[in-house]
Amino acid sequence: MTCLLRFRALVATTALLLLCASLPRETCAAAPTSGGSRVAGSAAKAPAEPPFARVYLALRGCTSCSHCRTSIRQMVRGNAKGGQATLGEDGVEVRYATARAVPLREVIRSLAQSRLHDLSVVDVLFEATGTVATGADGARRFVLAGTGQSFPIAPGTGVRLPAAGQPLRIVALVDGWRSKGAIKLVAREVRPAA
Amino acid sequence: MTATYPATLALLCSLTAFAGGFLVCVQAARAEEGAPTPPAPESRLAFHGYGEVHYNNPALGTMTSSAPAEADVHRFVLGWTYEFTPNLRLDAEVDYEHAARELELEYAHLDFDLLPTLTARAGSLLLPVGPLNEFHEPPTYYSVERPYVQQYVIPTTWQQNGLGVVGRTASGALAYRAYLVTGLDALGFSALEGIRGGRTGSGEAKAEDLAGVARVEYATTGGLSVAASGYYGGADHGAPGLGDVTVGIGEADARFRRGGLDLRGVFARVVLDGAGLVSLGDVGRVMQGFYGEAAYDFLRRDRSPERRRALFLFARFERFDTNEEMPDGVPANPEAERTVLSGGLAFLPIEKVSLKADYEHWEDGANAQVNRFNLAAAFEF
Repeated sequence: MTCLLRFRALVATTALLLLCASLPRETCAAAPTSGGSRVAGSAAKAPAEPPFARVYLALRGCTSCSHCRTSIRQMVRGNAKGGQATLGEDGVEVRYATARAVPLREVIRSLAQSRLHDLSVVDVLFEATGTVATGADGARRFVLAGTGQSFPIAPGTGVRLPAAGQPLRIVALVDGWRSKGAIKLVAREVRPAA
Repeated sequence: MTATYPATLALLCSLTAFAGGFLVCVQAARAEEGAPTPPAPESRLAFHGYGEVHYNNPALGTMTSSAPAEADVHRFVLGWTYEFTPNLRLDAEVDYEHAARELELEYAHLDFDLLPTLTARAGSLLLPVGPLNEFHEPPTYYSVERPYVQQYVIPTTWQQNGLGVVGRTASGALAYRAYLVTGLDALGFSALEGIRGGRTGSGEAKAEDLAGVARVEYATTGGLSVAASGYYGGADHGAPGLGDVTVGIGEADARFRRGGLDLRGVFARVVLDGAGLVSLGDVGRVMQGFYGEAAYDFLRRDRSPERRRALFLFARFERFDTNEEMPDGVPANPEAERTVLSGGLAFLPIEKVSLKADYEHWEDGANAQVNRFNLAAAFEF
């Protein structure tokens, strides 16, 4: 029996070695390329160009141990479609360095619907570059730059949305993800895009 | 089971495998040198920990009600994660148990993300057996002491050196772990504590015998999760005069949470086999146990994300026997058959802090009984 296990050990380790060695280089690319901030507790540093978009999920529950963090990381990355997930003390941030459609609902759902661990999503913030457009029905939408992807948007308290077509950088609270309907952005901060 | 070279070769291959992945990463990182600046080093390091202070009256490990009470800083664990790159990390925890009178490496492993949902892992690993061995932070369970089935049948906290993979499906519903680890040491097995004393841990651990261990978990969005674990491996490490000993473990567990209700059940069975079994004395050939637990949150934290407090009332029934079946000609020790009925309260002012009080009633097959009152203050961060 032990000989069999040892043989399997050899096979398993060899397979793992081959798997590691055959990985695409991007799999272990360098750390996030801009901003350099973790979700929480990062050291102050000179401001860098922000990524194209980022999603920040505030979490409650077990986010500390290796096993929960691995689970959270895998659940988010499995739905982030290329987004780079970074875990903080009480949240996870998904960054999209370059323009691409952001699977916002999928990223949120990956954690919000999970009952594998004592974990709950409290709030979601979305930051991205784009423009505000007005639809045929008069409703305003935020269109992500270079993608055509859009979300309904409304101004938050004390926030004014500028005229349509002006390049913007917005920080918005994501609303509606707890229900099955469409998600909506509530703008918290609006500034001209760099 | 004394063939040293194949085992050594296997472990060398294990190390080589992970080193291979590490080198790939290093090369990739060098190739990225022209890329924008990575995060400041301090932002790659994250600390975490947990701890619990207990009052037990009478002290643990006795079946005599008149035994003295005890207060103990049972666990104080500090851990850290260092991210070499977003896909290569070191995770480790050190347990200062019983107010640092016992120092233990809880785990220390390298994680290397092969895919977004698949991670290779090597080092000192917590074995994925049962629902508690990996996820054992005190606010995650309601009683002061961990469920006893997961101490006497599944020897939580159980770590061994090894390597393997950790993965899940993109939906997150199905998760799995599979490791190859160093085997238990049969010379540490006992009648009343089962295989618990056979954990070899991480330091200078015997590695003549290896074991395979795996766990699969499936969770529905309706609040039901089910899981199963399996372990099989040698345990004699070629000890002179012992002969072959193998250990197999099967485990299944389920949990249902909805509307403040939390129901859990665990069943575990350990089977020892091999010619060397009889030389272990009164160690059971089969050890088995189960528990069922019901809890209800009277503050209904689940109703709103703004609610952070919870007050759980829980009750649990456990039955386990570390002498469930004996080798031929060896009588069972009646003290090995135990039932424990527990009930109490757990108040969580926030998710990561809990104050607990509970009461236990123990009975064993020798008709000994003991009632125990427990208090705890626990935290994680």
